[in-house]
Amino acid sequence: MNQEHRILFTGTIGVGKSTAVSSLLGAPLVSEAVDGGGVPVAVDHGDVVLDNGDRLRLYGTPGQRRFEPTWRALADGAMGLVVLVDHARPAPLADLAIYLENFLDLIARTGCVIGVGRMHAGHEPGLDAFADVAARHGVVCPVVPVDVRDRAQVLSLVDLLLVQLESRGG
Amino acid sequence: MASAASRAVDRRFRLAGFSERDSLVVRSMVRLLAGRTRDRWSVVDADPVHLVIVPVGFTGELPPGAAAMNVALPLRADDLWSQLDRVSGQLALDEGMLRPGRADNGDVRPVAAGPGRRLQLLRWPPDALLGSDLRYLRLATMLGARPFAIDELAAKSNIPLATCHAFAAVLHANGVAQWLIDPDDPHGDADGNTGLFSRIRSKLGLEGPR
Repeated sequence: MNQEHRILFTGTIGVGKSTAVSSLLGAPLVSEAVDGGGVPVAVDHGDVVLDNGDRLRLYGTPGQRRFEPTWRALADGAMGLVVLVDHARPAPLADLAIYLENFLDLIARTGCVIGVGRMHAGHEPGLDAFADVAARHGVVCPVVPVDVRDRAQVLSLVDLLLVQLESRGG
Repeated sequence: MASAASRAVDRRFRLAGFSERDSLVVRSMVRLLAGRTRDRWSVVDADPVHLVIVPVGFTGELPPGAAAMNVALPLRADDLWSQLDRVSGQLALDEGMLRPGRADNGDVRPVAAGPGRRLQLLRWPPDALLGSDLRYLRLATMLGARPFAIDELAAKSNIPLATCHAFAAVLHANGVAQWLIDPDDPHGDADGNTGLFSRIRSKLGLEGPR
């Protein structure tokens, strides 16, 4: 029987989760109803059918904190996490902290990559500040700049996630 | 993180293969980086030196025992900085200068690189150490996932052993990694989901694990 494998793209509303997945797959996403604490919540995803018939499903989680039950439902059984941070928002470090806290179990179990978007040279906080936030949460994972419209850069995030999973032996 | 200045060592370097104008630029830039680099670098005109800085493509002879560093022109300060610190790490490793650290329980453990020792990343390295070099990004990612012996790291990443050693030394010297003495490697024979990861890589057009 074919299996479904799940990678989550999370981050604040408007950060480009759906754009990232869409860039990666070169196709528009579809919506699926996921449990949101007793209420169905529409969540976007894109699919890749693997050579053995298994399906890799890339989800863009809903951004707002009120969807925490949906985050938990999606995280259950997921194989890894990409956290996208919008550097242009007022408090991007605090944004990152929210997603690390909510997905800490998934990160500990699998792997995580932090992609910081809309960064401009010389603007604070720098990448090291985001790594500091991760370290304070006990998370040691790649922190890289990303333009989610660029497939190669999104692919690089997934590559780094796979490198972690491969290193841990799955 | 420990400061670089507290461990700074005096180092000598000279230039080879540059035009007079480019030599001036390199010398000035190294001088501007004083206080930021891990070691204190002084330019000299004669051997012996710790380091010879040459332009990319240089084919002349280098003095035995000195490290060589290729720099691309036009020069970028952040590239020069990270390369100098990588050389410092390699020199420290060669000289057996790596210091003991402390385990979580307070016990001092021997921490020099060596057989049976694995490197553990304690936090994601500063951007200045990684630069834009994808090899370092990949090595740091692997070390963030679990501790690796350096020979295993080189084999699994397909990155030269010397590069892995130098990078490990820089990580350790900058306080973002520690050596573990642990003969039992719980990950050594793990196959895990390699089939799944290969299939995902194949489908997305990503190269396989290097």
